[in-house]
Amino acid sequence: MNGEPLLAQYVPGTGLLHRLDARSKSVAVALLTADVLHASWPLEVCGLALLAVLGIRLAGIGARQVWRSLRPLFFLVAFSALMNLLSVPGDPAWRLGPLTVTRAGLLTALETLTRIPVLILTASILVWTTPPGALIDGMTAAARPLARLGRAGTALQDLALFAGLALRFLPMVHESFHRVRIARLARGIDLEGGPAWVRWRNLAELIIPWLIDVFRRADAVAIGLAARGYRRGTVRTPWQIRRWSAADYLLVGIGLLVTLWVWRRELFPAPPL
Amino acid sequence: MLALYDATVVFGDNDRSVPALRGVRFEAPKGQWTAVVGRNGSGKSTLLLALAGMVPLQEGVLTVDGRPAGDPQETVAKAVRLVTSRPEHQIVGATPREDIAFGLQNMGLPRPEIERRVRSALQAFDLEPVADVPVHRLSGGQLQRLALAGAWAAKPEWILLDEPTAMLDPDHQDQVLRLLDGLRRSGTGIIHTTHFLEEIDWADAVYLMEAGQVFPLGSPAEIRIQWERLESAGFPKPWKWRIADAVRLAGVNRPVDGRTPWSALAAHLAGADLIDGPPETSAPQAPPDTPAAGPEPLGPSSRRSGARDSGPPVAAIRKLEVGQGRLHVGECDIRAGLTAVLGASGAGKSTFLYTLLGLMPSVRGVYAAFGGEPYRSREALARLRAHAAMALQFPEQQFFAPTVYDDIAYPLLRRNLDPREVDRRVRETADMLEIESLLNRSPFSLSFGEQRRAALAGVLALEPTLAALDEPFAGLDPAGRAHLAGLIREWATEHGAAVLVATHHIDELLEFADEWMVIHRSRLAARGSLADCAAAFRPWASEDPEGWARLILAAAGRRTAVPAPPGPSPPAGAANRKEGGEHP
Repeated sequence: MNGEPLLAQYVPGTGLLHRLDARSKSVAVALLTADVLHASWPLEVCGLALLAVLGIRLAGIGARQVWRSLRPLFFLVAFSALMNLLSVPGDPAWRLGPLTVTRAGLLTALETLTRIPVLILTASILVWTTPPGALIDGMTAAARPLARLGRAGTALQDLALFAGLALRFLPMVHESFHRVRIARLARGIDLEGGPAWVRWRNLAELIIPWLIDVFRRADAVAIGLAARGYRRGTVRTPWQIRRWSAADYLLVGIGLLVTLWVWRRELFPAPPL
Repeated sequence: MLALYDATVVFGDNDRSVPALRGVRFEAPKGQWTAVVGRNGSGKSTLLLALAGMVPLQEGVLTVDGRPAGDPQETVAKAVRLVTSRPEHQIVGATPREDIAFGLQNMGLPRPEIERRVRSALQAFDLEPVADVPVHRLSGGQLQRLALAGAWAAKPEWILLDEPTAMLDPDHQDQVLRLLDGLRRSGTGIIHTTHFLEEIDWADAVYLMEAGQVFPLGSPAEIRIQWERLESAGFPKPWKWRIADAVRLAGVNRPVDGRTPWSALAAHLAGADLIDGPPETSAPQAPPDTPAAGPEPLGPSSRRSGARDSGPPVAAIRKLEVGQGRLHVGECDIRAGLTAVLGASGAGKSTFLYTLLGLMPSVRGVYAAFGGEPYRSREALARLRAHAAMALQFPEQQFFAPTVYDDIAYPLLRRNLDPREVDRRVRETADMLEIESLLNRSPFSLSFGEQRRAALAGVLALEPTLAALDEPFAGLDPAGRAHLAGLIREWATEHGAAVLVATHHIDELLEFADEWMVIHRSRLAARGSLADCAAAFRPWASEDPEGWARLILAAAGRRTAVPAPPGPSPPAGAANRKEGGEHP
C-alpha cells in the first residue's frame, strides 16, 4: 500500500562495497561506529561524515534513497536536538519568553544534529550493501572455530541467524502495522482527527492488535524454519563468504588507521612536560 | 513409500482437545502424486506435519521405505520437504538466491554444491530474473515458486504441499500444478492437500479427510463415477468440470478434464460455436431465490438485472486516477446490490476498494459519495467513513478482543452508540452470519470458517450503506464459500446496501451477483452483466487469456444451455442432474 521501508534494508547493487566480504565490512563499520561516538566535535565528526558520504557514493546509493530511509529517524534526532537546545545550562545567549537558549545548548544541539546522523549512515552502509544472509554467514564463519567448543559456539551461530532473520522480517513487521491501521480505518474508526492526546490514544490502541499479529506470524515462521530443515544447534555451511581481496584489506586498514587517529590521545598519551 | 500407520495426533491441552488425526493409515509411493481433499479443519495440515516428522505421534508409526523413522527424525528430514500454506512465512532469505541456499546450508552441504544447486533451482523455477530482488517485492506466484524451488533444491524424495494454490489466482494455479507434474515425472513423490477439486485430476491417488480420519478414494477416474461420496463430504462438482462437461456435451471431441487450461477450454467452446452468440436476454423461467448452500448452477442468473437501474447511485466515479497510475476508472456508478469485482492478482481490485473507502492518499478526478467528495473535503471523508466499511483480505488476522462479541462491538462503541443499539446490531449481525452461538467465545478458538464469518460480522455490524469485502472466500473450502456467498447476498438484500466483493474466482458469485466489474492492469475494463463484461473485455483477451476464458465461459453458461444430453454419458448426466431446474 505504500513505499517500502528502507531503514536497514538491503539495496541490491554491484558497486565496490557490494562486492566486498561481509566480515571485512562488519569489522570496518564496527570500528568506525566506535570512532563516531568518540570523535571530537566538530572537525573529527565532520571528517567521519565525509567518509560516510564517500561510502554512500561507493555503494551507489542515491540521495533520495538515503533521505527516505533516514526520514523516520529524522524527527527523533530533531527532537533530541531541540531538547538539548533548550535544556543545557550555561550563559544565556537568547531569551524568548520562558525559553532560554545557551551557547553551550546551541553547540550540543548542533552536535546532536551531526553526530547521530553520521552514526546511522555509517551503520546503514553495511546493511544497504550486504544482504542479511551474507551478514549471518559472515558471523557464522567468524564463530565457526568456537562451534567446536560445543553449546556456546552453536548458540553464537543461532544468535547470528536470528539477528539476520530480524532484519529479513522487518518489512513484514512494518507491513503488519500498516495493515492494522488500514483495517481500523476501514471499520470506520477515525485515527487522524481530534486533539493530540486523542491521536496518541488511537495510536496506542493499534499496538495490541499489531503485537498479536506479529506474534502469530512469528509462530508461523518458526514452523517454516523447521520445514526448511533448521534445528537449533545445526552446524550450517557459511555460504556467502568470499576470499578477501585487496579492497577488503584496504577497507579494514582504513578503519584501523581512522581508529588510531581518533583514539590517539588515549592510545598515545602525551608525556607530561 | 512414505507412510503412516494407525497414527493418532492430539494437540494442545485446552478444554476441547479433539484428536487432529485418528488412527490414520496413509501411504504415498515414490514418484506418484497423492492428493488429499478435505474441508477446513479436517486435519489436512496436521497430516502433512506428521508425514514430515514435525509433530509427535501419540500412537502409530511413520515409516520411510518401510523403516520406522527414528527419534531424531533424520531419515524424514533427509527424504521429505514440506511447503507450508503461506510461503511468505517459510521464505527466510532476503532474496530468492539467498533463500534457496538457506535450506542447503542447514544440510551442511559444501559451498560449491550449494552454489550449483542454487543456480539450477533458480533456472528450473524461472526465478533467474528476480534472483537478487528483495523477497518483499515478489508477487504471490513468484513466492510460491520460490517456496517450491527451496524444497526441490534439497532433492527430497517427497515434497509435501499444504494447499499450494490457495493464495494464487487461477493462472498461477495452473502454472504451479504443471511444475509439480514435472517433479513427479522426474521421480519425486508429491503429496498435496487442496480445496480445489478439479486439481485431483493431476493425482494418481486421492484421499478424503474428515474429522481427523483418512479415507482412500482411489484414482480420479474412480472418483468421478462415485461422486456422491465427495458430495456428501461437502464438495459439489467443481465448476471447471461442469464447464468441461458442457464442452463435451457440445460435441467437442477433445480430451477435457481438470488439467485442461482455461484458455484451451474457451477455445474448445468457441470452436463449438457456443460463445459469441447474441447477448443473453432475460430469462423469464428463472427460478426463485435459493440462497442456501449447495451446488451453483452453471451460468449467471440475470433475474435481478432488470432492477439494476432503479435508485440513485450510492457513489459515483468520473475519470479517476489513483496514485501515479495505480488505477484508472473512467465512469462508474456504485448501486445497491451485490457487485462482483473480478481481476487477476495485482490487477488493482484491492486498490479499487480502498479508493471507494477513501483510503488512498491521493486521487485525481471525481469521486462523489454521500453528498460530497471525500478526497476533497474532510467533512465528506468523515461522512464516507460513517457510511462505508471494508473487510481487508484475511480479516480474521485483525482479531484482538477477548471475545467475538467485543470484537464486533468495538468500532460501534468507539462511535459512541447507545449500548442497547450496539447490542442489537451485534446480535442481529451475528444471527445473519450464523455465529450467534459463538459470541462469548474467544475469536482465536474458532474454526477457520467461523473466524472468517465473525470477522466479516465486525464490518457488517456497522450497517454500512457501502460495504467492500476483499477476497472474503480466500482459503475457504467450496461448501464454506457457497454458504458464505449466500449469507452475504442475504445481508445485502436485507439492508439494501451496495456490497462490493473482490474475488478471483467467478463461480462463487455466479448465483448471487447483480453486477460484475473487471479490473485489468490497473483499469476498470468492463462492467455490467457477465455478457456485457465478456464483450467489453474482448480487446484484452490476448493479455489475459485465462481471465477472459473464465469470463466468457461464465457468460456463455446460460446459453451453453447444454442441449439435452445426447447419450448416457455418466459425468454429463450427473452434471445435468445437479443443475436441475436451471435448464429449460
